[in-house]
Amino acid sequence: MDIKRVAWSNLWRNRGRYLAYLGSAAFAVMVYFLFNAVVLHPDFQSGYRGARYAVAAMRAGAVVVAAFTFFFLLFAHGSLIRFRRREFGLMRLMGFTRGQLVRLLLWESVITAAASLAVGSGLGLLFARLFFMAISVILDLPEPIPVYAGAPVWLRTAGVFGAIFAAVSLQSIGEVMKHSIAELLRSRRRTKEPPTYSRGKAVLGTVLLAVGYAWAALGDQEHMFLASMPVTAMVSVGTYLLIHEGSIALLNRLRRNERGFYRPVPFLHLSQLLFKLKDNARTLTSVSLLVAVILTAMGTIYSVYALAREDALRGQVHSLEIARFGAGAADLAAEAEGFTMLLEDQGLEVPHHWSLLTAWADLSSQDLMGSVILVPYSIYRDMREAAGQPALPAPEPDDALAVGFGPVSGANPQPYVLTLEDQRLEGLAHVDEGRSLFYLQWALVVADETFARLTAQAPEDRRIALAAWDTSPDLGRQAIAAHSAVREHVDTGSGDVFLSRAVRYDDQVSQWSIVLFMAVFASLVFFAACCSLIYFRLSAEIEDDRRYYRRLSDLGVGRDLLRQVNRRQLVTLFFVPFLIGSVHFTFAMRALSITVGYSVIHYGWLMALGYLVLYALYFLAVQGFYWRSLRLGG
Amino acid sequence: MRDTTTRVLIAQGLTKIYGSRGRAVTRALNNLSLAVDRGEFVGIMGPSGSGKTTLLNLLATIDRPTSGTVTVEGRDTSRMSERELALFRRKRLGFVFQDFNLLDSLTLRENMALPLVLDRQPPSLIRQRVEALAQRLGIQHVLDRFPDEVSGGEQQRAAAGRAVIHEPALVLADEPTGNLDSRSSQAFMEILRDLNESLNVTIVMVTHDPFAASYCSRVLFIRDGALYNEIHRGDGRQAFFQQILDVLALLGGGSGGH
Ligand SMILES: Nc1ncnc2c1ncn2[C@@H]1O[C@H](COP(=O)(O)OP(=O)(O)OP(=O)(O)O)[C@@H](O)[C@H]1O
Ligand SMILES: [Mg+2]
Repeated sequence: MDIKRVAWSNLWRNRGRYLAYLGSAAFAVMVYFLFNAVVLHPDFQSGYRGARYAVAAMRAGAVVVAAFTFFFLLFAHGSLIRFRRREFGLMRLMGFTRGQLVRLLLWESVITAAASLAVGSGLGLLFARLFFMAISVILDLPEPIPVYAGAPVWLRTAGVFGAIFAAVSLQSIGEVMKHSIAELLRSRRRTKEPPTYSRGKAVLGTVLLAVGYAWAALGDQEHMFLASMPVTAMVSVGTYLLIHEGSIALLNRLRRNERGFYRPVPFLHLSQLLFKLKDNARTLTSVSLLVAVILTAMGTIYSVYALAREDALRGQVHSLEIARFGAGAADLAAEAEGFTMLLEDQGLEVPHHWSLLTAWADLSSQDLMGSVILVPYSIYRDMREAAGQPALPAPEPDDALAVGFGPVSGANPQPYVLTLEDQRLEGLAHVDEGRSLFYLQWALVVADETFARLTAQAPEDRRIALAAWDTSPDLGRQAIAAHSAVREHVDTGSGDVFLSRAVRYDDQVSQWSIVLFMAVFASLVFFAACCSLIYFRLSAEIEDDRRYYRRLSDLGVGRDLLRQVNRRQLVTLFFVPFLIGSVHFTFAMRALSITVGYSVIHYGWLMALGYLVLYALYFLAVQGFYWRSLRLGG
Repeated sequence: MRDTTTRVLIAQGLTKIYGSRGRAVTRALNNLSLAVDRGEFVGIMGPSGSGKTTLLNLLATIDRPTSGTVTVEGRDTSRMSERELALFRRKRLGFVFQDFNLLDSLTLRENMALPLVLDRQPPSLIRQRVEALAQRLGIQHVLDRFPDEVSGGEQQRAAAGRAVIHEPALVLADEPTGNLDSRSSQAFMEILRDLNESLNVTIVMVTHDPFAASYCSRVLFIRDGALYNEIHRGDGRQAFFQQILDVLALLGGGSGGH
């Protein structure tokens, strides 16, 4: 007998079931292929600008994708094989030897593995150009990196996924071999007992979830990271118990309410839900946890990215700042003029430039306490004007404006005392809640004459020279080049401070954008797995459902009503886990907000919305497909 | 000839040809006509493959004839749209199948209530009707169990309850005792007779079982898709039973051998 032919026809007969399996496997192969095309890219080996980040991110992503795919395929293929047990039993009965069955399973694995590898790598090759183009844009490379898909990429992809498929196939052979013919033949008895409600489990589930959530929501910054493990475990178990027991309790209650239940749609919909509950609970739990994992991972990465962006954009007041302390401070102003010309030579416009030789002093008042730099009112007003922000009126000679402290709780203005060596100034400080004037955050703005008097007598070790430029453009390749040219002339080794928004943005943000980019792809692999779990459930149910809907149709239930019932079933299966996953995710984001000390929930939700859109599209496609597969005639 | 107003069902010249696109063609029904009056309990018998199920499916409007018409209560079903047919089936027909055909996800009570729920009847009325009928069917003590949790006989009685609860013009049953042992069969047939006699339900039943057929008021015999013979019940059931056996012997091909 030609085993290979049998393998082909087996797979063809089961193609509906294998579709989701092969689809998610091929997608994982594609992503793995693309990631490795970056990791193994020869140009990136020689340290392209930003290449370090890209290679590190893609390498990490490839590991995550491969590991996840391994476990997912193991699970998915296991359930496919369990579904086909009877088929294998019949083959043994018809005279297949154990050896032949093993060879058959091996052939099937070879075919499925080859198909997913071929399709996956093919898609990888197809999308490689787009992928590298995107990376060039994200890393802001001077010219797009050439597409790379050399032999090492193919070898590694084939090697790693070949090993994964081999392991999956060994597992399924073991599964089939460990049962006797009789066991294989024993058809899955699908009498579904009505699920019974267990108060103990419901209470346990509620407690686990409540404790997990409370821990995540109320924990303190220090212990949040350690807590994440037990919290995840508690939430996972709690979710299963609560989905199971909670839906039994809820559905039974709804069922007992005759007024609500004895109407066509709820009557059919709710009774079916309860009937399928045991089978659905596992899928619902897995999907909701996967959704939670995807959203949380993406939410975290996106939040960090957004924070880094915000920090780079807002944390630094000017495009470029240089500070010098102590004895040499007085020379900075002259050098700064040269830097302005240098910036302009590099093609930047410099709409604003300030140079300031000042000193730092000690401030004390009810709310404001610490070292401040002194700033003359004229520069303060000028900066506020340049930034398009309101300036407070000029202070009286002994009074001052406190800038960079943020809002204060006490009186405004409030009396203050300023000391600079043996000089002392007392008056009223008006608090300007606007942003800082220089990277040195706290400043006390005094009248120009007062400023001149105070700084003239400042000792050398209290002197600070500050130079600031607003350049246009102030981000991007050109700005980085120009700012870097200035940097060449600044001696950071001897204590000068050099701050370029463009460089900082590039450092912080572009590494995170490449991580974000990688994570989007990796998350899509998880997402595809999530979608195939639902698909598995549906393909397991379709025979039963077909019978169910036919029966109703024979009894004279119209197509419209059937369609409505079917749609509700699918909406429940799809969106209840998404909703539960989103609740988990919200608590995880709350925990993250505590850890980073900044609320990031809105970033998370923004991103969750994106996944919801994708998910809804999948729902629409499956819904139509499933309805057609029920083949209710007409 | 009786008054046509009491005539619930008229089937005229029913022909059904199966098979298309290259497959062998089967003429399952050949120009078959029959009429059923209100309150009648008609049995249909015939050898395996003679077209009984096909006939019942046509009467049930879940399949359309190749030619011929089915008229129920004066309405020609071949002129109805798919949607009208569904509504018609729901309101005017009741079904009992060999495999009981209850929905596993509903309790017996809910299964029986289904036609009334689909009709949006108030819950209080539904409860009242289901319980009264369950009393009559002898399944009031298992009403809140699921089909899996009761015996086949009880399932079939619930199915009969579902078939008559909405007071249909016609109840169609395809080998309703086919999966029951003789005791449950007898109990079930007594229930059908009771429904027929006390509630005046009109029933058309396909069966292989001469004993079950002896409960009918009239039995039609078909062979090769056409009417072969017809006998009416006279005095006792015992005599009728004997008559049925005689015709079956003539008919040959066995009674189906189930
Ligand atoms: N869907 C179908 N397609 C093709 N042929 C069919 C189909 N259904 C029935 N037939 C054929 O039509 C003929 C009549 O079948 P039908 O099921 O009506 O017989 P029956 O009298 O109910 O038999 P039984 O007593 O075994 O149930 C048979 O020859 C059968 O093979
Ligand atoms: Mg039949």
